[in-house]
Amino acid sequence: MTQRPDVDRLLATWSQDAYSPPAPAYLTKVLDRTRHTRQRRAWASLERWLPMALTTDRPAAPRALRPAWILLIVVALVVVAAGIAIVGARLLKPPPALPVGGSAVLAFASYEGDATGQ
Amino acid sequence: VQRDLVERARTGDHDAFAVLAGATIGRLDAAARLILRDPDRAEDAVQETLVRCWRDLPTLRDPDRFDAWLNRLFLNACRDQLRSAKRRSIEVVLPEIHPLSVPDTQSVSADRDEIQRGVSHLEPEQRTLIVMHYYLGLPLPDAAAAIGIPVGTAKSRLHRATQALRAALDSDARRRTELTEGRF
Repeated sequence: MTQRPDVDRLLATWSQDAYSPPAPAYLTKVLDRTRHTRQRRAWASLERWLPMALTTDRPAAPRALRPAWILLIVVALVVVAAGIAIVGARLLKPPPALPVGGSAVLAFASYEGDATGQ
Repeated sequence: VQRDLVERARTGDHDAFAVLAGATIGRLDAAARLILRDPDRAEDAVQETLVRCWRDLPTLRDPDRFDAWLNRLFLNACRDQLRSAKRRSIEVVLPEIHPLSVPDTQSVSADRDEIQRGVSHLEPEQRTLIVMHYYLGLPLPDAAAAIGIPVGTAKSRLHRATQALRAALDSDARRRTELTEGRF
């Protein structure tokens, strides 16, 4: 007769199992690599400046949302660029050819002379 | 002791880091083999984890969070390996889960072998969560945070994983019974 394994008991035993497997042979290779690797400056990391809870505990955004975020950022950038272009075009409009507002002197010249026939 | 080692390694003491690495590499290697089911990929993931650990250790502010931080690096390295395995569409051959442990009659070791055989039949996401929670001993919220899923999702995934594990162990037990009864 088949004896059904008690999964809950097995999992509990597994989680309390203090057995620590021996270090694999590639430990020396790892230590050789790290010995020749420079450590990063503490201040050079964003994580150094953000609260620890933000960098270790916060669940990462679901993978499906990432392209949506990228699209949203691209759209926002396009909107901002369009806004700058519209406002900039208005600011850089060439000044009107004729003075606007106050009095001005207009000079005329005619090849046919004036009303006196001179 | 660990806090002192982390403090020293953080300031560039490579000998302290070697002690830390020596103390953690065995368990990381076993966990990586369980998650990735490929000794070569497991080695790559663990090497990457420890190299990043050494490189970024000065950026760790709270030495008491070393384990949680290391687990996160480890999980990211395993994820990278799983992703590249998927990209290359390699058929992974099921290796012996724990080549260093010889089958024996001691009950704890036999239980360990049995559960590890069962875990190897699960989906990668389920394997990852089971290993993080039960083998590496992370509380479920910490495991969920490390994996990047909400706690509720982790709970339901763990439930499904346990059911799948039960089914795998049942079928394993049936097969063994049939073998001992000489039906094959």
